[in-house]
Amino acid sequence: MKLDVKLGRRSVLRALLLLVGGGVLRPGTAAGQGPGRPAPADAAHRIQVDVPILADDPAAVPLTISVEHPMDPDHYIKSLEVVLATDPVPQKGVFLFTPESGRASVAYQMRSGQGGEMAIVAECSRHGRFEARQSVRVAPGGCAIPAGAATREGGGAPSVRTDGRVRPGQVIPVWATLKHTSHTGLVERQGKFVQERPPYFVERLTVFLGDQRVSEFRLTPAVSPDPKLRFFVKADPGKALRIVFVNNRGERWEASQQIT
Amino acid sequence: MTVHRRDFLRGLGVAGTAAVTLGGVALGRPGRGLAQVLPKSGGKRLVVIGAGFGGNFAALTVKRLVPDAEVVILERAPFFISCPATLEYVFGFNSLDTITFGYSPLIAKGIRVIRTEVVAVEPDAKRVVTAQGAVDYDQLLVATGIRLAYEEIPGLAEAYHVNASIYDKGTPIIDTRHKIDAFQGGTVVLNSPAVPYKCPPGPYEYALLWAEHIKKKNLSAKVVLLDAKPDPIPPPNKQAFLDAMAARRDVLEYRPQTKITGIDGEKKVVRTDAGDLPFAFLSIIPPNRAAGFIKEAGLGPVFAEVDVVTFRSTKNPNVYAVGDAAQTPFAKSAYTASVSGKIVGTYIAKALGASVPDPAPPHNICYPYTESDKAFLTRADWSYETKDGKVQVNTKITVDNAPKPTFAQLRKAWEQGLWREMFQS
Repeated sequence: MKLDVKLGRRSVLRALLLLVGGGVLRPGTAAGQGPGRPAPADAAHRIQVDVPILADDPAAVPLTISVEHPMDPDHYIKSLEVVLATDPVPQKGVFLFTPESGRASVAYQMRSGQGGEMAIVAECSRHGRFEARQSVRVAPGGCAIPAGAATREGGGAPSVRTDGRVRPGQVIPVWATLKHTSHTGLVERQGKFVQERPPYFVERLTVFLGDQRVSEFRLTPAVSPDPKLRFFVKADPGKALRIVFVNNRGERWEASQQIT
Repeated sequence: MTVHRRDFLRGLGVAGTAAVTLGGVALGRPGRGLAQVLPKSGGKRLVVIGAGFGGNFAALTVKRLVPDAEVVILERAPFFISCPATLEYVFGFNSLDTITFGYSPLIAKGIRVIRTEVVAVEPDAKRVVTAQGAVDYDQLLVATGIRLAYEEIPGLAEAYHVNASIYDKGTPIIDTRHKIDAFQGGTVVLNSPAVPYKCPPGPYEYALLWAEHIKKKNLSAKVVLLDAKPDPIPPPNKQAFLDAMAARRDVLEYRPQTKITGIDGEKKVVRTDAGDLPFAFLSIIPPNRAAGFIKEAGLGPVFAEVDVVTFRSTKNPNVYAVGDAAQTPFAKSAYTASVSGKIVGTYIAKALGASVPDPAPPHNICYPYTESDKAFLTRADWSYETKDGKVQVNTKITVDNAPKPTFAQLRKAWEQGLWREMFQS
């Protein structure tokens, strides 16, 4: 299965403007998009967004996005994209799926300076795009250490983990992690964000089952340091589950686990 | 079962005369025929809702600094139970009588303690509506702690008897102790809820003590800790908890980024967003929210919004909130609530006429257990900094993440110190 979704920042922002302007979007609801081809407003085309009622660490706001949609070869969710337009780095990641992903769902952590209203765009292979909006409230502090600029740059210790024994075709959760510092390179001066140095971040996580690429997650500087992602794959006992992290300097880290 | 305010009032209606008076509240006609619990205030009445760590320390501070103040605590529980000691209690390391206290030492100091349920707060009328009637105030402190939102996990309210609670105060923990004692084996499912919740290290300590219990009793069992978050918190202790849990991996499985989506009490299955999980023993903490009247009274969308220095409500100048019910950058812990209680008490005393210096910002000390006789240390010292005319809270963290018996002993002394300060005659 080819991963052929292209979701640019511009297209998402344009879509958002259209939808916001038209008053189509309401918090917590999903709406079909695309003239003449709206995604049906059924349960299979509803984006589920889970965020804390009050996130306590602006550098790591946990987020789970899912669409409970069939993942059939001819009808599946191709992508999920998260945008928080009012943040200095609005793009929070693009998550590409194939039918072998088993389930269009990802849990991870993002940065969000102030919180605000997120837009989540999903694309169905048959019905096109649809969206949901969800507000995020971020309270600085809590038990968290205040977000500071990472001065050290580096990564390592990739890991991948799944459950124990599985049945063929069973959709199983996978946890992938990498120790990796990250920063946006932005500095706030007189109320404006200035790009003081190049960002440093993990830009991609690719998931393979055997030789087949089943999912690809495109990350941004707005994804938290030490990325931790939970997603799903359709299990194939005997095959190796392999993950590859790549950062924006082209450095790679791999980890694998045999599915039994 | 979920009891909503209206149902509660309806229930009271059956009781008789209260029906007429409280019915007035339900219909939005404050002030008509509502019974007065206390005589009219002489102008120096502080009403504290909640006799936990924050509320008690605030009440004691105000009474000490303003002896002629009328300090009234509204509390629904018949006695104080010390939440930090709950973990020790449920595993049988202490007894209930050593961690519970009556309120008579506070009453002996001139503080009035009224056992009642608060139904509503009416900031415009400066009064609290209770199950007994109205209580007027000059200053109000909301110190109600968290509310366990059973209703947010489908099936959990119906499975109340199946779930062995550790965050419910009072009698449910007695039940939990009996259930742990009777446990013979199987899968124990625990959780660490999404933030914000009280006592961030609590769920990890609980899981580790469970693992120790299984090993000590040589049970054929395992613990699964479902964490809604990607890592244990507080962040400075993340690795210490991960290491401690990894050392128990033969009986303890840690599942991060897993949200509980439902409970089937009959089939004994926990539903999560990463699949179903059968359990033999369920002990989960529901989402932590605040008392519903906070939102209804316009004091904040979930928790009461306060000034971070004085704990005064940003919505109403005669209302303060402290501890877990307040939205602050400080930790939701008993120790922080105690220190903050003294701080807010000082500011309330000033509002009642006392001439005392401003108190220092709060701090937190905590000794989380990794096993029953070992703990580590985490401390947060907060400070204020004014930036662009806005007060910013800075945090200095001190940790010793190497578990030691000394810290376990200090933990006991730390808690006993708080008890002495609150309940000494």
